[in-house]
Amino acid sequence: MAALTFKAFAREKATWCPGCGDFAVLRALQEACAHLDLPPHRIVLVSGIGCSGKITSYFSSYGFHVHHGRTLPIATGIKLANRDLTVLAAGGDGDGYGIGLNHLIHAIRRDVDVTYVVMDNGVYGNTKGQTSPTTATGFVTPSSPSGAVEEPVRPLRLALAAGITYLAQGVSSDVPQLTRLIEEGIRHRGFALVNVFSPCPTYDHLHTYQWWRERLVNLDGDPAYRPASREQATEAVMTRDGMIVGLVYRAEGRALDMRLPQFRPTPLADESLTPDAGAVRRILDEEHTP
Amino acid sequence: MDPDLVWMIGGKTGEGVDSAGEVFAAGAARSGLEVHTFRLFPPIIKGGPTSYEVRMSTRPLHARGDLLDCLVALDNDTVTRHGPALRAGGVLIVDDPKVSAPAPAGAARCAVPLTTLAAQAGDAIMKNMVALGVSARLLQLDLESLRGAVGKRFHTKSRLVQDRNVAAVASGWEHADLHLSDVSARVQWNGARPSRETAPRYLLSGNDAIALGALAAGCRLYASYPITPASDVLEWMAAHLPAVGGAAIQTEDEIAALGVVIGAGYAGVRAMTATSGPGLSLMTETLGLAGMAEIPAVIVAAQRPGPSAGMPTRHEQSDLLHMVYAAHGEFPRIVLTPGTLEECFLDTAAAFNLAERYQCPVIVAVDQDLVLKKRTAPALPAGDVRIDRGARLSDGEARTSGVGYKRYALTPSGISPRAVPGQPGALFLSSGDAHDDGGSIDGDDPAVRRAMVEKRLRKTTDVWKDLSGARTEGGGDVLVVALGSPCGPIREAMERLAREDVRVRFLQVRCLWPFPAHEVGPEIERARRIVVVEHNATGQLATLILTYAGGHGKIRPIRKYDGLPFTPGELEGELRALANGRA
Repeated sequence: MAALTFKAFAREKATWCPGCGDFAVLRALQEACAHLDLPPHRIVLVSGIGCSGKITSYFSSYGFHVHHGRTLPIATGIKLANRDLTVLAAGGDGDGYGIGLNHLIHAIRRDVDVTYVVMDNGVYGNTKGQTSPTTATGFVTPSSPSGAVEEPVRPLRLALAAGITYLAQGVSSDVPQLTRLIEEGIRHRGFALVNVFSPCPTYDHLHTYQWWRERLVNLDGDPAYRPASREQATEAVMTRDGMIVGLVYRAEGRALDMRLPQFRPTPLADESLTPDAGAVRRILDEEHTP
Repeated sequence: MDPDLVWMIGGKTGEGVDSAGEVFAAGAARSGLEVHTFRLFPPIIKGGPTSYEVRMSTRPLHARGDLLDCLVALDNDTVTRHGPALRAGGVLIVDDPKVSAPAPAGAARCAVPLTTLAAQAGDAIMKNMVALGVSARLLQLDLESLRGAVGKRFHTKSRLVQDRNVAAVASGWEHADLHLSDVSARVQWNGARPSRETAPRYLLSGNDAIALGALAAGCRLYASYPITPASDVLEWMAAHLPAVGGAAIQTEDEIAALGVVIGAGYAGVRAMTATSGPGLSLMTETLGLAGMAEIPAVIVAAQRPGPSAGMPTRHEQSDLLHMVYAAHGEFPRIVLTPGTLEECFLDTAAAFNLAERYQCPVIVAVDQDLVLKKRTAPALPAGDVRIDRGARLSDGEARTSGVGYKRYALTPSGISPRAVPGQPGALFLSSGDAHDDGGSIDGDDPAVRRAMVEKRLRKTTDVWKDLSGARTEGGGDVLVVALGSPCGPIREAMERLAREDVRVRFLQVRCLWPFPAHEVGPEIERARRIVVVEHNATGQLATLILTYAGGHGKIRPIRKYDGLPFTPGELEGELRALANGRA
């Protein structure tokens, strides 16, 4: 029985719009950390720009609210500096699939041990409702007055193609499932992407909680679905156009810090530094003697 | 005057020009000579014009030479490009019969069947090694030292390869001995023989010194994207950081590189990136994050000609103002400007202390010439490196302060003692958004905004207790001001002028930002004429001097922006004229 409750991870009162899906994501993140009995000071949450980026203000742990789209490189630096910490990253679809998409592919490729939660609402809420990378084709926004003409980014397909080792999708209307998916993501020794359909009731009146409930297929409830099967995962993300929730795929993680055999048991951050004149002289003698 | 020889080999990339130059430089250094190298290479991996210059002397060298004493041409193009730089009485060695170009007037032409001799020694590819043997014999350099350098160069290769290369060098030497004895008098060493006992111990580049400085200072994570001329640092770090338990990460771009560095800095680990202008441009927004969130970060920026991709393999100093002002908004930063190998080492090491003490980004501003050329050095001042992690909360303090901890506390110095994640208690929030002293964002109180802006900006007002902004030498009422690689040719020009009792005063700017107005100002005030020497077209250093130290009406610019570093001779005449009151 975990000693902590989600309240151990509460910081400021959230100022998201009433009904925002991000409240559920915050709660699920707090519940997941409580279930895992993680002391808040052993967690770093890195967040990006946008409504979702404010989550660091509401989640009690060490928090770093960074510039737009760059949560993953910064989370990578933190994890390499102190591999004993639980490193979480969170942001929106604009942050992760627009301005920062490049970093997502490379974080997957490195399999850096970071759990990345994307609050995917399909609009740019913080700048008042423009299209986002995941906006459905035809959807009308202030920046697409005749309907979005582009195809949306499909994060599950991208992540699977890039070789991700933990891939899940949740929805803000199901906090218990989302909690489980995040919890398993944190346990996973590798990169975990949890994409969350997180409705924006202010700028998107179509994709409501009800709308998602009617359409999403829950893989977790399907006894024939095996998340260890890349074939099934590929079929699920290709044929259902991403309209699924649950654990999509899980393989054995090969976390970046585990692939660096020189890393000692003590994390770099805990090492006390002394000037190493001896190393300089040794390298000079060995390599720079003409 | 001390003997001083300048030798160059030129050909196409892929012909072994670089490795020949490296071996010749190492051979000269092994024999006890001071060495200073200069490479010209194209952004073409195979088949582009390339050259490697080695200047040798018994006294320490600060710069490349004005003219060549000996030029080895592996193709006709080399004669066209570099023949005009051969001094009267110099020697041109050509690969006969492939190279048909005549020698420039006044130079001797030695046609040597380099390729044929190499083929006889086992492989025509070794024509570069044959050329080294010929050169060493003509210049009367020590054959044993050269053989030693060849052995070291190929020590990872098979015994056969080593032996063949040594044989190729010997075959060149013997050929010259037999056929070129009449020529050798033209370029032979005519001073004191160098002594192997007093030989300079090391041969290294600015990039090597920078990497060693970072290692000495406890850098444990390095992240960067390959870019000329900074890639050497990435390769060096990848080779050496694992031995101290650290790691080098090659990121997807420079945005990620500085991101990794800032993540590590936030988490309490010393981290660095190195780049050039295009990479620094990409890092600009992240630089602002380090400023706003007060995260230590060390960025080595080796300038090359811009804008955009510019001239990737050439030299310039046109990012000075970019380094000082890059990123939107206002925040403190420190920009150090080393000009020698020793300064590359010490400044990089010091950058880590400054970054942690002042909780801000520190840029080590260097340039292509400074980081790529190799020089001999007796040692690096490794014993002078100190480590100061700045104001940190102990675990006990973190636990005690708990939720009341103010990460951005308004202190008189502006510096707020920092906790790092993992410490119990002091759970703080850092943000690129404006925040109050406790880290809370979304506030809009004008007084808080003003207080936080001022808090950040006053952090570096006291930086001069830890840092010297300028280095002065020489005398007279003509003041020369420069930074980075031009310091070398300026020092040599000053030495030449001193032999004529012509004196100039030199101020080397050692920190570009904060601008050391308190050190530069009085010198500017005192001088009759001021020469600002810099490698850009718009006078970026002069702009900072005029803005922060004055000098209106007294400054004469010497600017070079053709991609090549100054030679001492290019500066000597103008400085002489100014010192003599003729300009």
